[in-house]
Amino acid sequence: MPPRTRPSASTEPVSKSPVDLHPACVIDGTAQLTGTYLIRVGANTIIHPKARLNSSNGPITIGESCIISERCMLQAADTNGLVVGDAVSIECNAVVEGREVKEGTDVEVGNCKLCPMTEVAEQEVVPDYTVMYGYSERRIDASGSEGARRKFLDKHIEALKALIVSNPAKFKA
Amino acid sequence: MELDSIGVNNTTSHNVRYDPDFDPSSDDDDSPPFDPRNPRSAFSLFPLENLLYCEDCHQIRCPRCVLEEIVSYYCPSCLFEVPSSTVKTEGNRCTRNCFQCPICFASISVVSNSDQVTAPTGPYSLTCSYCHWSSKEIGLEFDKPANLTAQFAKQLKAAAAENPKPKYAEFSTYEENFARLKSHYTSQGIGAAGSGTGGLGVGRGATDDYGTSPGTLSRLMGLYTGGGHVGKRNVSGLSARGVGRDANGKKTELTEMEDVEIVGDEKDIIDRLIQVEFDETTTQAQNLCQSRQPKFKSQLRPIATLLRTKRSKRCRACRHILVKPEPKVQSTRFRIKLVAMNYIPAINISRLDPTTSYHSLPPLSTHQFLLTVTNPLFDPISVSLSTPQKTPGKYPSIVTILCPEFEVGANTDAWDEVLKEDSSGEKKSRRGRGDRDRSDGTVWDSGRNWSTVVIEERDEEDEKVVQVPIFVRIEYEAEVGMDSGDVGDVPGGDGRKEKKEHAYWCVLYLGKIGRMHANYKYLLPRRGVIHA
Repeated sequence: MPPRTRPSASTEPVSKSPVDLHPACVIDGTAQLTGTYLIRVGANTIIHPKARLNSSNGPITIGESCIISERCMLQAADTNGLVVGDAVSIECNAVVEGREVKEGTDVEVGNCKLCPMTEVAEQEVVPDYTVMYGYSERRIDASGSEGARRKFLDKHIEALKALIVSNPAKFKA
Repeated sequence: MELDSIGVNNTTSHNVRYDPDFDPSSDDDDSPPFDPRNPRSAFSLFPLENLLYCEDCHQIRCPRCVLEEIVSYYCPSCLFEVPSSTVKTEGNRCTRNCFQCPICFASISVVSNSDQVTAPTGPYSLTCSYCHWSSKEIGLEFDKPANLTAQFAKQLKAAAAENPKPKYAEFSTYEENFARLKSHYTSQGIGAAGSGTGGLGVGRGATDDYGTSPGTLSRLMGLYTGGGHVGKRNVSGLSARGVGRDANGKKTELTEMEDVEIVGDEKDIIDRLIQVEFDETTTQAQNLCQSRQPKFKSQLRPIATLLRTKRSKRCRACRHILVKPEPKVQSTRFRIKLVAMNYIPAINISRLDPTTSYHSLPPLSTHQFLLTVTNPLFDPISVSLSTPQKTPGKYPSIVTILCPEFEVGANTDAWDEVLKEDSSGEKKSRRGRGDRDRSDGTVWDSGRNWSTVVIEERDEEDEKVVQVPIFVRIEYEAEVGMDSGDVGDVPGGDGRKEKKEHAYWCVLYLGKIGRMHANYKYLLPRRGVIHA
């Protein structure tokens, strides 16, 4: 099967997307929320400057207490949309074009960790607690450290709230 | 040869040491040219960057003709310098808190397992921040966050003692095996167990611990060969076949130790392999990093970080120090570092015709390359290059250097060149460019401390790598007393000049000849046809 072209590669005209931002979320003014479908952001979620959310092909739903880092790209692959669960940390420069990212996941894309440059095949479902590292090697995380990591994430969000100036008004139509 | 090295093209070989037929004092024409295809050459060719230079011997020194001395041992993870006495007693791994992840080999850190964030308390575990492996997975937890190695060893020992089978099964087997062997050899009166064995080894006044005294050796031979010849020769201490004397002077018969039972363990392994999934078995890399080569991931232990060394290098001939690193671990500086690049001119190859590819040069034709010699010395040098007319090998190429003898300027201040150009109003370089005839034997181009000549190669066969051996001879006049070795003669250096010379073989990789076209005869330019 030939590799499918990335939806992000399409060059459709940029339009401001309809948004539903929770009052307790923090979104920087320089983030780009484009597309035609609805983008919904939950409470305590941090959207860094220059993060890109594109809903041209489907709606994007981001849960509570997530961190969407700088320069990363979230895009719904089709009309089923992209659902990012609670407490998901999407690190710098990541590209997320899957369907669902469950709770507690780190993307460097519930409770998985995907290290940079690892690959998930199309249609693949990565089970909970999977760690993908190195050359897309997988292992199941049995350390039971998700509680500690959640605490760490909450602290991280607290710190970011003090650092990032929220400007949700800019995205409201 | 890898084609990757074509871009670099500068491989300098030793002349005197590793090319036995070459004698620098004799005339060039007498000695056969250096053959880069000779299997021996692989061991005497190095990129210029890897070579050192001995100022006393005035010779290039390669990794094979230096002596290495360990300056210090240190842990790459905590940068703690480990005294060599500790390395001898404790082994070559970090004995503090440094461990590597057994899964992904990243360095792992101590993390408190308690939920309290402000005041962490025990127990602690080792956790890999990359792949999320935790020592909790194998049931390994620590009371204190310090001195982990000692705690780890204690736990292993305790676990092996109380529960020899399930958890640390393979560990106990090895320990048991060692203990068994030790007791066997002690009972046989071999080794340094201090058993006061009459007749052999230590008791005989042998000073070494390894049983190399003739008595012990012959006794060991007796053990392994069945004692046939030992019995006949009646070596001292062995009155008859395989017989020694114990402390009381009683005769003791040497016995074979019964084989170690490991068959049972293998059966366990096979049974477990049937049950577990493939993911739970170790990969080869994981397996090899562990001291006991476990088959399952649950048997993996954190790996104590391997220590590293800082080494100084000496010339093998004169013991003069060539490289001496700063002994402090934190510092990456070198006190002494005599690299050959500062003494030996660098030779580079570039294409004259930029459209040709190094990887497929047109076959059966003449190729021209530019050979640039860059001088690192502060005195101008005169270079003479000589190359065999045909390159060695079954299908030789004909090589001609159009200007084999030329001068290269001194490595003066980089600004000199710019200032000179400004004053003369004309660029000094680019002398040879343009539509000039390339075969007139002059330098193609030159600059402040470099000169370029044209090298021509004509091949007679396709699909081969063109390697050209070149004999380089450099002559220059340096001030006497500049080198440390000459200081004794002229204390201050009175400006007296002294002639110096370097001569060595180097090999240039010009490129690979491309595949010949099936109808090449028709594609060749026909001679005698005049374009009307």
